[in-house]
Amino acid sequence: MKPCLLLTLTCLHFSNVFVCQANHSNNWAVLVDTSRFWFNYRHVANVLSIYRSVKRLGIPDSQIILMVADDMACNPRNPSPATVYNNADQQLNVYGDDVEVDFRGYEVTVENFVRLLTGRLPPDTPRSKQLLTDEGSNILIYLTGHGGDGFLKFQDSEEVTSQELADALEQMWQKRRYHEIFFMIDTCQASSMYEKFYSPNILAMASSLVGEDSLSHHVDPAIGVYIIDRYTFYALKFLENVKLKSRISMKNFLGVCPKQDCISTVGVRTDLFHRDPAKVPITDFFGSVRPVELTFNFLDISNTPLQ
Amino acid sequence: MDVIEKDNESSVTVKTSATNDSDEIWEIIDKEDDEDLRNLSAAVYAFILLVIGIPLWWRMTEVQRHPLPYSQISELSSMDIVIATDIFVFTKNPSDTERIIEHIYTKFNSTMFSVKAQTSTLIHSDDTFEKLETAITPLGSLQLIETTNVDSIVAGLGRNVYFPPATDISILMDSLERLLQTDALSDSMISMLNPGKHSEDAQVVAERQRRVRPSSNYNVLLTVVNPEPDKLRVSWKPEIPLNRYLQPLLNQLQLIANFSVQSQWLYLIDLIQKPVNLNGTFVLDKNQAQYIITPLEKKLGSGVSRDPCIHFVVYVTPCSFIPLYFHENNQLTTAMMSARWGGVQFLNADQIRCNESTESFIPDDLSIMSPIVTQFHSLIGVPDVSKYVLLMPHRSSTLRTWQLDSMYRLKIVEQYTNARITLTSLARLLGEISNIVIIEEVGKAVTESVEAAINVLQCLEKGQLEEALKFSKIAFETSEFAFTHPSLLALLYFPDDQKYAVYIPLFLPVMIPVLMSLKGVKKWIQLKYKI
Repeated sequence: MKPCLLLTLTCLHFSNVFVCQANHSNNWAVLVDTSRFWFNYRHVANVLSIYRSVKRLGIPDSQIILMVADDMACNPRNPSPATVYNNADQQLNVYGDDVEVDFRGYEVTVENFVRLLTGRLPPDTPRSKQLLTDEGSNILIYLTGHGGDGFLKFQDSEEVTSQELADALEQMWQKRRYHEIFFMIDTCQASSMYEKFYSPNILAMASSLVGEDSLSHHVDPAIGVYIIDRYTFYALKFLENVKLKSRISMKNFLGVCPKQDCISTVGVRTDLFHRDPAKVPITDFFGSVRPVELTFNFLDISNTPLQ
Repeated sequence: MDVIEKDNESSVTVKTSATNDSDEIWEIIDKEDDEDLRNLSAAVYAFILLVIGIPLWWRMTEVQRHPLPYSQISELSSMDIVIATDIFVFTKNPSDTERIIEHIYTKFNSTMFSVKAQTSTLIHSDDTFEKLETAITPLGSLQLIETTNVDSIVAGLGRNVYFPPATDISILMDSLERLLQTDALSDSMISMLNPGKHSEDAQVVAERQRRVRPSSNYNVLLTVVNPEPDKLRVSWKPEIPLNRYLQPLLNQLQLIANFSVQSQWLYLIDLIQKPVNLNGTFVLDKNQAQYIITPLEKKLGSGVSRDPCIHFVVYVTPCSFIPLYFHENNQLTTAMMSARWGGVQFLNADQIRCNESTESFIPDDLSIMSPIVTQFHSLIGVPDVSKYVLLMPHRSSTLRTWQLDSMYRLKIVEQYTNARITLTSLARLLGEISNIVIIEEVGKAVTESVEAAINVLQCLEKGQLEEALKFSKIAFETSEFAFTHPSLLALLYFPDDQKYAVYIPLFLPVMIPVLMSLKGVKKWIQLKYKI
C-alpha cells in the first residue's frame, strides 16, 4: 500500500510540473566562449559540450547562437585535427560534424555580444547571427572564459563588465525580448557577473563565488592541456542523464557540482526568478518543447470567392 | 617637445658664439629674444591646450544625444485609448430600441469604447433578409437588427447582428461585448504593459499567446514532406490551392501586414515519434505530438528572412502508418497547431497508391487547405466567438466584415501599445544608462513615432480605423527602428572608467610640462611689463 501511495504522490507532483510548462513558446540558447589560445582549449570544449547537450535536447541550430573565440579543432598543436574532446577517454568528439558556429574568432567581441543581446545589429546581419526572441522566449545564456571580480575577459584584449551585462539584460527586458533567462557562467569569481542584475525573471548560476577561482578538471596527456572545467564537467554529467521527456527540475540542476567536486562554491541567484525552481522542468531552458493544440473543427472554405 | 628642442639649439648657439668676442652683444640680445620666444611659445601651447584643446576634447567625447520629445513620450502613458464606435439598433418597437440603446451606454461606459448608439435609419422593416445583409454600414460600426428570421443571436457576414424578438437584453449585451472584443483588447494592452498580468478569461489569454508577434511583414512557408518518395509519388502543386484559398484572405489583410507566401518540398524526413496502432488506425497522442515539431523545424529552413515565419507542414504519412491521426480525448484529427509557430497536418494517401508506383497520389486541395486556413486565422488573431454567438455560414477563407474590423482594432491597439512601450523604455533607459548615443536619425525617428502614436489616438477618437491603423504601423515601425538602431550602442562598451584609463596616460605627460611652464610664463610677463 505504501509504495503505491508514494507513486501517486510523485505523479501528482509531476503533473503539477507539467501545468507550469506551457508558459513560454520557444527556446533559445546563447553559448559563448570568450578566450583564445591553445592553453584555453578547455573553454572551447566547455562551450561545445553545452552546445551538444542543448541540441540533443531539441533546440534547433537556428535558435542557438554559438560564439567561439578560437578554432581549437584546426589549431596546429592539435594532435588529432578537426576534433575537440571534453574527456581524456576521447569517447566523444564534441566538434562533431554538425557544429554551426555563428560568431567565430575575432568576431567574438564584447560589442558583438551586447549587440546580439539587445538586437542592435547592422541591418545586413544574417538571420543566423540574430537573437530573434520575443516575450514568449526562454533563453539559456552560457558564458565561459577568464574573468575576475566584476568582469569577463573577451579575446585577451577587452572585457565585459557585470554592469554592462546587467544593462544589456535590462534593455532586453524593457523591449520584451525574453520570458525567462537561465544565466550560467563558468569562470573565476563567476558570481560577480550576476550580482548586478536587476531585471526580473532571471535565474543565475555561477561556477564560483567572488574571491574563488574556478578550476579545471583534468588533463589529456595526448593533447597536453586541461580539456574541461570542473563545473561544466559535472553539469554535463548531469545533463547526459536528461532526456527530452524526463521530468527533472531546475532545482536538481542548481545542485550540481557540490564543493567536494568543484572545489569552488557554486553560486546561485534566485531572487529575480518568480517561479519555484523545484517546479520548473529543466527542459524549459535546456530543451525545446513547443506547446501544441490539436485542431478539431475546420472552417468551410469551399466557396472562397475567385479573384 | 618643441620647446625642449629649441632649448638645445639655443644652447648650441650659445656655445659657438661664446668663442667669438665681438658677438657677445648679440649673444645677450639673442638670449633675451630666446627667452621671449620660449615663454611666448609656452604661453601659446598653454592657450591652445587649455582654451581650445580641453573644451574641444570635452565636446568631442561627449555622448551625442539628439533631443527627444520626452514630455510627449511621458504624456503618451497618461493618454487612454478611446475607440469611437457607432452601434445602430433596429427593432419594430421604438421603446425597445430606446431600452437597448440605454443598456449599450451603461455596458460600454467603462471600456476602451466610446459607443454612440442610435436608432438605425439604414434599413426598413419590410426589407428581406438578403437585403438586410447587403446594407452598407460605416467602417467599425455594428448594426443590431431584430428579426423573426433567426432563433438566436446570429452574426452576419457584414456588420449586422440579428436577434429574435424577446431576446434577453443582458445576453444581447454579452454577445455585443464578444463581437467588439473589449476583453481581448484590454488584455492585449495590459499584458504588454505589465508582463504577468492578464485577463481572467482563459480563452482570451490563449488566443493572445497563440498570435504571432507583431511585425509589418510575415513569411508564410508551406512545406510538403514526403518521407518515402520511393514508395509513394505525390502529385500536388501547392501554389494553386494557395492562390485559390489563401490569397483572397491575404489581400483582405493587406492594410495589416504584408505576407509573402512560399512553398517547398522536402523528402526523407522521419517523424521520430512512433505512432501507436489503435484498431488499425495509427495515432499520435498529444504528448507525443509536441515532440515532432522540433525535429521537423531543423529541416524547414526558416533562416531566409528576419520576419516572423508562419509554418505549415503537410506530412505525407509513410505507407506503413496509413491512416495516421492525432489523438486527444478519444477524438481523432489530422491537424495540430503550435502557438506562434504554425501547424502540422498528416496527409493520408490511399493504401493502394503505396504499392503501385506507376500511379501517383493526387490529394484533395480543399481538405489540405481548410486546416491551414483555420490555423492561419488563429495564428494571426482572428477572434473565435463561435462559443458565444452563432455565425452565419460564410464558406470562405476570407473574413466577415465585422471580423476584419476587430482585426483592425486589435492590430491598432497592439502596434500602438508596442510603440508606446518602446518609446517610454527608450526614454527611461537614456536616464538609467549614460552611454547610449542618440544620433539625429534616431532622434527624428523617435519624434516621428511619437507624432504617429498621438495621431493613432486622435483617429480612434474619430472612429477612423483605417487611418489609425496606418499611423499605428508607422509608430510601431519607427519606434522599432529607433530602439534597435545600431548606433545606440556606439559607446556602450566604452564606460567612463575606461575613458579615463585611455585619456589620462595619453594626455597627462603632455599636460605636465605645459602646466609647469605656466609658472615661468607668469614670471616672464611680470618681468616684461614690470607689474
